[in-house]
Amino acid sequence: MIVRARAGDTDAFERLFQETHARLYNFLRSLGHGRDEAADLTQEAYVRAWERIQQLNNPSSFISWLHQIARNLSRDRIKSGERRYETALDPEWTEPTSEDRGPEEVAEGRAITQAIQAGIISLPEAQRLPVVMHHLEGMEVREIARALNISYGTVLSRLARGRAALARKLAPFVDVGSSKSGEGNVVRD
Amino acid sequence: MSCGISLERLSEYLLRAEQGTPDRLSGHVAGCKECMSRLDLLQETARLTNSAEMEQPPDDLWSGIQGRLASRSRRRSLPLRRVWTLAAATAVVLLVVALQIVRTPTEQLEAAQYLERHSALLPVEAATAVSPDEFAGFSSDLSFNIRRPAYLPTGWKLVKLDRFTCRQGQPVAHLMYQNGQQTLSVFQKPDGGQGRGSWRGRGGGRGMGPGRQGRGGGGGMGFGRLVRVQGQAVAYAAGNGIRVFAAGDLPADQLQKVAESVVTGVQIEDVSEIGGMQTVVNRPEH
Repeated sequence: MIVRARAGDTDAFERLFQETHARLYNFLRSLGHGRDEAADLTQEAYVRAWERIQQLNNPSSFISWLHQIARNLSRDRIKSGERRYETALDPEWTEPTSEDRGPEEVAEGRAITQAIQAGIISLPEAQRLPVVMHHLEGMEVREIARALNISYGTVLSRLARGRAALARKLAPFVDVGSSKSGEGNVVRD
Repeated sequence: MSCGISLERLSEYLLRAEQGTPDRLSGHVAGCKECMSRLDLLQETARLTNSAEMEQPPDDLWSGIQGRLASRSRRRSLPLRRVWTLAAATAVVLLVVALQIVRTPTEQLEAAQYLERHSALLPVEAATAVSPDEFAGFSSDLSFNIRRPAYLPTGWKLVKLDRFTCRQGQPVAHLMYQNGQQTLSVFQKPDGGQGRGSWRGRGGGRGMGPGRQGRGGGGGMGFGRLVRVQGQAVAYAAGNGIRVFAAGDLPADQLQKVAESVVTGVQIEDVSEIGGMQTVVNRPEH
């Protein structure tokens, strides 16, 4: 599909967009952009990708390359001071719902989801990006390294610290069996 | 009592295990209940985070992208007025270039007749060089001063002198040079107007040294170009009151140098006395 898009097939590029735009949008949201600004930057990223797709030598790197474009656009927007929208990190992600779940389960699920979202948002950007890209977008560590232009080891380190921070926030909500630690869910470092 | 392993270090251990990378913490973790408990927490955290759904982007992103691409495409298109202006400018340039390429009818006709005359005299049998006396006599019979090329490749000798009246009614001196089986003709005649051309010859025609015929026409500039007649190159140069055409078995650039040297060179009798004149390669042998 990427090969066809490089050849000028707009339908192929649209299919690429449909498969990847949610990830890119969430990536831009995790960079601190509000919903409107993230939408604006997402559109601009795909426009730029279409205009420069001939420069993409390795089709398998499309996702990483797209993230690089988005990251650069984000930086430019922040540097230029042209942030037109509120950048409050107010997550309103879709709550996981299930018709089979009872009210208590739904409420519990909502609480956990909000805790995860709040936890991700509270992470420093260096940790937040790898967490979002790995856990929400499903990117491999090597893909993240390419997209962020950092080493594999650095990604591992930042991802590990981000997950540890999330674990601390989720500890009250997670029951991993008090019999194992003998001390409930208290996380001791 | 804490085992001393931080949650961050344990998180890294877990991540490396997920990536299939060995970690030296394996031995400790296997025997540490505290670490095992925290590993459970980390694994559950990863599971819950994986299950967190992404925020849904707006539905109209693709139409917005199409609009932006269309808008950029329109901005890149030249306005019609600019297209016409560009076309007109291009046409002018092409016309100027064409005029440079297509020689004036006079030069083209002249070049054709000189090439015809050169070809008509072929083949030239091996001949002895024209003597200075012969040349002097030949020159005196003509109404203008005949110049010999200040530049000739090594090995060429003047073997034939001829004169005729060209189709324009002017006297023309025809100097024919030979180098083995190769021949070269240099035609020259008075030039009533200024020489025209696309390149400048090297100036510096001035009388040199004592005993020289100082008819170098000091500092005159030669103008010349190449003319193509039926695929053959004929060099043309004009200046200092003469028009010169050179045709024959030399590369085009050599023909140009020969023709140019006739216009801009000094009246050279003995080039060895010139010295330092880089254009002089060889004195024509007699």
